[in-house]
Amino acid sequence: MTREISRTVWLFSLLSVLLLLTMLVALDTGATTVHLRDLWHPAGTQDQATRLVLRDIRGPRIVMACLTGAALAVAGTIMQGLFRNPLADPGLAGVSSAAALATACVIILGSSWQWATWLGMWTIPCAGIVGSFAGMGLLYLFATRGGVTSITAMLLAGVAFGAFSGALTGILIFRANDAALRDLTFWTMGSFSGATWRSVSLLVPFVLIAGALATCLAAPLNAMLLNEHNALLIGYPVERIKSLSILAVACATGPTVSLVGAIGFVGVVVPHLVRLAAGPDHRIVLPASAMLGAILLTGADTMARTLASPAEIPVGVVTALLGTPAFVWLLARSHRTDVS
Amino acid sequence: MTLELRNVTWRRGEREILRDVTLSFGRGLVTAIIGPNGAGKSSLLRLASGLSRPTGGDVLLDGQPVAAMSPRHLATRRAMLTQENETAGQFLVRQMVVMGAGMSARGMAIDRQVALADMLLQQVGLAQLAGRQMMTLSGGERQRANLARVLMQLEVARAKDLPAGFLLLDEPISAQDPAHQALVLQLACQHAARGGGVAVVLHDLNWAAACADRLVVVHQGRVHAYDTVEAVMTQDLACSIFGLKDGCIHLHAKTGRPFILPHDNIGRKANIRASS
Repeated sequence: MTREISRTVWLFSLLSVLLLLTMLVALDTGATTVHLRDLWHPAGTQDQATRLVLRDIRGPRIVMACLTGAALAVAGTIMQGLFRNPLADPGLAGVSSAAALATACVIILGSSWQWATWLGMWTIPCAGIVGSFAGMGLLYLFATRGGVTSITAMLLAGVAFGAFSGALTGILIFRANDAALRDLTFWTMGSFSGATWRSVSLLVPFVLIAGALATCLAAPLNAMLLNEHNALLIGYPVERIKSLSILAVACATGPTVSLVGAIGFVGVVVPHLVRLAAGPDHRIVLPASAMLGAILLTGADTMARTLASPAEIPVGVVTALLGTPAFVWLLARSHRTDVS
Repeated sequence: MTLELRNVTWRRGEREILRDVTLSFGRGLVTAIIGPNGAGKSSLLRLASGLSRPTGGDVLLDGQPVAAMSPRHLATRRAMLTQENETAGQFLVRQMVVMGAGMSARGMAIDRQVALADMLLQQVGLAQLAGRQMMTLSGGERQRANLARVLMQLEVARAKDLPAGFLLLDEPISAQDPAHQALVLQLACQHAARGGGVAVVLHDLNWAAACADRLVVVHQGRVHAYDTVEAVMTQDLACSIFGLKDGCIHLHAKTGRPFILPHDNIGRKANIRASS
């Protein structure tokens, strides 16, 4: 037990150092030749460009990448614990596809809607948030009968719902004009280029709620790994755990997908990497996944904006390029374990 | 002080699984539940544990309706070993047993929980495997590790000076060799001797007759008989419920308890095999 504790201390120390380093490198690197050391000038002597780049462009972007990475990784961990399936992903619960459908509706049809002009720059994020919560709510209601939620029914309905909303999004794309199509394509691939302190402030409350729920859910999710019946037998209110888990996933995924677009693989790969190092205990996996998710997405975003500088590659492309081989490796590894 | 089922009926869709079941499991007693496959034994245990709600009648634990108790409160009063125990995630054996403490463990130091888990692993004969991953154990070892997890739940309640709870076991020896079958049932009897109640579903009628204080015979969703071993384990029961032949019930020379030796059936099958 002492060995496990010291391993956990090492893991969190390493992740903390890595997170700090990644953030510093991200702040220091970019298309504009503004460096971190410029911040060391006495207050008032920094030029306006330095302040603008570090404080108003890279600053919110890094915070947004950290929050998004942490939120998606936590959502993935919760989904995998709840579904007792190591390959579950927030996308399976219909959140991402519902957000995509709502966003496509607003981008393509929104110009003729009065409320869309009232909301201004918040139209797309708000539509995505409402869409993701509505999608997850529908699935939850569908899978719940007599106060009991069937996780299997929810998983299957989520896959079907994803396909259906994908088809509806396809119809919308079919009738979109060139400008709307470009906006939608860019959103679909995910990017932090639009991050501002205001968009960060919109995301923070949702991430805090998801984080608080995840903290409460860590021990119950361990019990859920014993299976639902055994979790109930040892005293956990299983149905409440399921509904709180679903709420946490919606809070973590919906707003992030709405604000930065669909970013794949973080939710499924990060919890796996953490489990390889720290074992299955959610009290460790959840916070460690949040940290590793933040590290990976901040790193991926730094690569996205520097590899083709001054142009930017969408961050979703970078995570998919890095994530796909990792995902295939995990599949092959789990297949080998099943066979042996 | 009992776990009691009163006129309990349970339906799943159109199918009636249990009909008008009334019986009580007492503290200090081992009650074995026997019956043919599909008779409703496991369903009876699920209803008694509160895992499923009856469609009619009541389940009462020390006079209180189980349906009205919170899962946390209920967890301090009874523990159950189900037949489905696949654990997802690569937990170590000791970790999994500690998890059995569940919600009852709140306020108890982790060192104390680990010490209790180690003691229980010692009791089920798995002390040397405490640091192994669950998925590397054999079927029988996994079943005993899960028994240790279930006992952990009751031990934690006991450590908090709560009254001894009920231990419900659904086919706990199905994957065990003879020596470990004896060990598992010995642990169940020990729990009863310390004032707890035990209800155990068994397919092995001889073990049921050897270890139980009371026998419940479930047949086609009804309680066919509920009495002492000597009163229940009769030739008539062996023939009418289990389809065995006359003369298969014997009395053990040392214990005086009945036991079954279905030599006629075995002989008949052997003849069929030889002639074919």
